[in-house]
Amino acid sequence: MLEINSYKKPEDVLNSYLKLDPIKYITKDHWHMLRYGRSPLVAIYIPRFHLTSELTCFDYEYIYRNLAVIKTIENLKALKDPEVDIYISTEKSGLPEDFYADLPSIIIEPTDLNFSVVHKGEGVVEILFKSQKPHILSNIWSHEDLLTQIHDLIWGIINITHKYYPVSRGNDIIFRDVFIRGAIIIGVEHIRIEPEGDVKLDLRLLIPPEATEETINSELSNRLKSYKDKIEIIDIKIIEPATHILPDKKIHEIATQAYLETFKKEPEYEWFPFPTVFNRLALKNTSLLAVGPYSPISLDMCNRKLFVDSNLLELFTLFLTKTILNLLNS
Amino acid sequence: MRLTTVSKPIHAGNILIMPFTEFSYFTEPRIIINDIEAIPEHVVKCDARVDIMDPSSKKRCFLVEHVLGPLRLIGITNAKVVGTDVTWNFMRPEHRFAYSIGLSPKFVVGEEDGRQRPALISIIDSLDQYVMKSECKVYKSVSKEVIYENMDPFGYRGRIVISPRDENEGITLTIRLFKNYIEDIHITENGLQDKTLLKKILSARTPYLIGIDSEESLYHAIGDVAADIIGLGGLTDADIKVELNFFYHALTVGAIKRAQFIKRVKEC
Repeated sequence: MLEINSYKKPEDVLNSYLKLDPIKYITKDHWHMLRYGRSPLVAIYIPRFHLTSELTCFDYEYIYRNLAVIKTIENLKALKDPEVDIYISTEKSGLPEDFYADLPSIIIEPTDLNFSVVHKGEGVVEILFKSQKPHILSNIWSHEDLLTQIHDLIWGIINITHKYYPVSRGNDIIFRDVFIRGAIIIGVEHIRIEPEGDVKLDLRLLIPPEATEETINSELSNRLKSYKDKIEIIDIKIIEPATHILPDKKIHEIATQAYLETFKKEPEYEWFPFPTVFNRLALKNTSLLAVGPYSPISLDMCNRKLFVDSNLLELFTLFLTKTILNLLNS
Repeated sequence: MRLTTVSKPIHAGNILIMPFTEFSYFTEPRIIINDIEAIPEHVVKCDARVDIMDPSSKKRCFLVEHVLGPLRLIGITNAKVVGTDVTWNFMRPEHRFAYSIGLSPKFVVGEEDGRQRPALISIIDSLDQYVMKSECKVYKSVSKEVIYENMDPFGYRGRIVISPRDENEGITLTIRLFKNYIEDIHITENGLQDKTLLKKILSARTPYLIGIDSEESLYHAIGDVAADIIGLGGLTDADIKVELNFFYHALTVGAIKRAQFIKRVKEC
């Protein structure tokens, strides 16, 4: 169990928001809306990316994202009525439709302080591996052979290589992430061995913008060149398209100015590597920006490996406070 | 040094280099990339790469060092350059950045394989056919010695000293990149005269793809230092001694941003 600033459960984080006297509080499907001020002009979303009911060492960055927002509300309350709606999820969960704000919205996600206006999408693929051999379980050697083939096939599917870039397994995670952030990432969800020996694989994909079912097909075919006669791609579906918001709204201009003043440099833009609440909100609202401390690669890093930079968090809080204040005053 | 441009458009990988016709306006070495002037004030990113941004249009140009260094090393001081890439390669962080903000791939002017500018190798033995010297003879150096040190995110210390040189002395470079070292590279009005070294530089890949300790990385770094100090600074004569660290553009661009210049236009 994790304990940071006495937080043991996600609800303890929520209690910190409640102590700041919201005038309205609604909860639904692990999402919680807290209204500060009578006429909200800005919405802040803080999604949690884990399903556990207790905080674990993997929630370190979640807590620090929340601490920055809690401190921001305190800062705003000291200056004026905040006029901010906060939406926080205490467990990984889809955003309820009535929590879709049409206000300028900042999604506090671990973007490594980059501005993110592109979030990758998600797809599913079903493929059939034709083993062309009966599956007789008593013949254990056949089963062993089949499992070896499945193992090799899966590695063929998920492995990413590139003629120039250090993206394959074994390279440093930091350098890999620079490049694979833009790639089609494929993972395995289900493996089913049919009685006749064929194998069905359900795959899950993270897809960049502009990717279509044709480009996914072409990417899969390329990765499975050596299995050409044994593989059949049964179905490809994009279940969540990648999202791209052009950063040409007032919120982007104001956030850029606040970033320049706080960090003394222009913000950099980078994609978020999987779909989040950003993708959903973007269906109805283009005044969106995702930004936050820590990197997406910190999401599976235990707190012992996650470096806490209090100066950085202080700066991020300052940036967020400035951005919201300027949005409220604009 | 006589300002020099290209006599006709040159396709060099993913850029088109075009003649410069405004010497009376820009009486110093000056490269304009996608309509953005490559000067220290326009640099908005300098770590693993160098990006420039036009303050009014907010248009950004990525990886400009792989234009500026190669041009000066073949003796081109003034040119207009446009990117020519039309397809996205989202494995590249610069392409993802450009896409995010609504720019096209042409705003990324570095090659996807991280080499300096290998396409120029084919013309360096017949450069006379491609360059045109102007009537403008200028001198630009630092007005006083610039000493700048920094520490990169990995804790490696870098140090650079840029010293003034007199007119017609040209540029001399001495560079250490971790265990590799090269001294007294001489760059004149006609560029780098050691053609063997020039070819190695133009085809060298970035240290961020092949490792900082390789000899090829040192050759690449020569192009990068030329870009950041001579290219952005528009220097004609100076002595540069540098001990590079990992994200060394912060060091080199940091130094040229702090420099004060002396400039004389002899004829124009």
